[in-house]
Amino acid sequence: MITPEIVGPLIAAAFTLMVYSFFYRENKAYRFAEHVFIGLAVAHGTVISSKYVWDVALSPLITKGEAFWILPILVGLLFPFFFSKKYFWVYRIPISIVVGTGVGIGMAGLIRSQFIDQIVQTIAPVSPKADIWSSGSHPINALLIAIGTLGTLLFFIFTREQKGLLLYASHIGRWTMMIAFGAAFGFTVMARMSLLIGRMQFLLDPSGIAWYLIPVAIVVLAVVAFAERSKGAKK
Amino acid sequence: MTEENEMSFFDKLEKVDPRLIYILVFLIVSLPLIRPLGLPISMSPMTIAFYDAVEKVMPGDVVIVSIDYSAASSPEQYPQTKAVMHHLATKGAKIIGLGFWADGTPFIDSAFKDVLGKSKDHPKYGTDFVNLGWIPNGEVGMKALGGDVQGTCPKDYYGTSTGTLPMMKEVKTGRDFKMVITLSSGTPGVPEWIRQIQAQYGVTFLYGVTAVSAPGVRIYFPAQAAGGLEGLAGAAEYEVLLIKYGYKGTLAPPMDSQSLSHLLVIIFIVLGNVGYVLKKHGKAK
Amino acid sequence: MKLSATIRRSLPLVITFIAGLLAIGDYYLKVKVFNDFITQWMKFVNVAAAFAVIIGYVTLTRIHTRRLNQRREGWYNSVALLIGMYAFFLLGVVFSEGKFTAHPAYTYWFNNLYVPLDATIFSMLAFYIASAAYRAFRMRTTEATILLVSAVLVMLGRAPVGPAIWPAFGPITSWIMAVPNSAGMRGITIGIALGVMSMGLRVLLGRERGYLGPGA
Repeated sequence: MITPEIVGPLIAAAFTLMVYSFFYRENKAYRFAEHVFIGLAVAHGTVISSKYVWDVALSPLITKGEAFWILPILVGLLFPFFFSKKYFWVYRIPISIVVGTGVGIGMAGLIRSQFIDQIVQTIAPVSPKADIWSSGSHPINALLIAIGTLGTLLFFIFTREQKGLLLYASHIGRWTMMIAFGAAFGFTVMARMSLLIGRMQFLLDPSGIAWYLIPVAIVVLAVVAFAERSKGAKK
Repeated sequence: MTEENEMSFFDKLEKVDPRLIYILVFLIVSLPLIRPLGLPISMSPMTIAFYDAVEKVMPGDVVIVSIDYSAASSPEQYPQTKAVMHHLATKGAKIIGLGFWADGTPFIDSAFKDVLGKSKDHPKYGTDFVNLGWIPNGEVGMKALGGDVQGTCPKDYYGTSTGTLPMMKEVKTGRDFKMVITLSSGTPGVPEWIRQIQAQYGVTFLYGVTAVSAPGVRIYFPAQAAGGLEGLAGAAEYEVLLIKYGYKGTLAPPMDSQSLSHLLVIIFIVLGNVGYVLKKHGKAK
Repeated sequence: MKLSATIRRSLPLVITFIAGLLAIGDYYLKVKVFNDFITQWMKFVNVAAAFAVIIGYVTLTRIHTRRLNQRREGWYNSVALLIGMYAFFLLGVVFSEGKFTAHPAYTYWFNNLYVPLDATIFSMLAFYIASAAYRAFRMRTTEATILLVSAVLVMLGRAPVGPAIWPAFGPITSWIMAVPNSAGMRGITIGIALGVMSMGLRVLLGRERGYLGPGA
């Protein structure tokens, strides 16, 4: 019995395998899947934006007569002037509102949370009872963090020749950053593998039907590879 | 002669077809999913801190769960989402699901269905949990949310007027949030929430991030963020802690895959560098 | 509408400055009337910003209909893209009975087509990172060696296999994350904050105009 509950996962598995076919070589199935994804992604963004505009502005305007919502709708409708050569400057009005607001909000909040608070945390009170392996509040760890943070900041001073004390501090900063970037790489490997594990979980789930397509994909791949080899041998 | 053989062996290794590497990765990741190894999951202090913070939630506390990730990160972050929702529901929190990523908001509905059985049709929808859907414009949207919740989200994800939902009557601004949990894979995410909500309203803030973001957001712990879940490992650890609440985790086999894949990458790094060092040594001579 | 070139060039810069000043002012000035106005203003900006998706939609339509009309190589992929784009949009806006993304049919295709595609395309990175680890990651300098050692310790410590081999891998990883990683990232974050501040000032004062597009 062919139901949506069966067709849906089969479609998902088919497109998954089409994308993975890229690892054999670039092919039409992969390109097809990629183009479908791009279309869906843009459509989804548009649908969800439409819902927001309807809920927040259009619906109150139409049903409750809240006329002031005309203003942001009109401003938003200036975006399509992006495509006009003559009136391109009109597009700059909504973009400058959005960018100006975003920049202002970002700057205002940044000073406290990513500047002052970070400096305060570097010189925060220590606690000898804190766990040395996991807490930045342990006296030794706190000292190392302070030295490392200072060294990292001093590394980026390029307006003076780095020599003497500044050079040593810069080296400490560089090594601190290398350890941090190594940790970042380790976590990046973890993240990427997790994404693959998620897809494999879907494909190999014994209670699902996606895994039926794996032998099909292997057979198709084998046939294509064999055909290519024969073509190559004939040439 | 032996050194020449070693050099050519490592030269051959360097030129190996990348498709062989891909097949190895595929096998290493797949095999533990079919035949789990049962490696014990060790705890990270960040996960324990996250768990302890949620344990302090009292019945009736309003908790924002913000889905700020796309489908691309869902293998890592959807397990975090389900575990967090389950824990909050167990503590009797009033959950407000929303998101600043367009791709992620359908996951709020899916999570409610997976954890609570139903979403909009649940008898407690509107009294114990709501789904406010997507809010555009990132950090500007967060600021708007903090200033006026119902004005920013006049309707929920299903089109119902927010003002008619019983639990939303007491939620007007950021001051009414007891806790904010963001499950984020990029921007807008942790720093934006801290700037616009945590710093402004002093709300308890927790995060769940993809492993890629974890090192960068660690700096916010413990002063600005009370704890964090880091990637799939964080979700797996959290599932273990939730066993006492009857949560049935599914991440033990994936963590086995994670272990083997890490070992494989380490072996690749070692092999590549042994070859490099030997080549360099050979050239120096 | 004919405006002088000077006004056309200056108007967006003035708007950017005022919009930014309003946002910064709301952060520092606690005057109820002003704060309430800004809250309303933020909602307006949200609604206006939501219209930006039109640009992406129209651009893709133009590019791919042109490819289709000219029958360029792979034009059938453009057909697939356009069908996917418009069908999904119609399903979500026109045929969703007002439910938009909450409609069951939309959710069905989102879960069975969009999510698998998005997740799979991103998961390809796993293969590339393994390949890169094998072919490119070399201990050429002391710094690269430090980076590699740190990476290996973290990879071992964060997966169950590390503590299973040697229990100390867990605490070592925790220490790396708590101390040198925090120190390095904190220094970088403070530096980024300074950079963003200066860049933000440049944008608000009109010295940085890249966001306005060509010819600004």
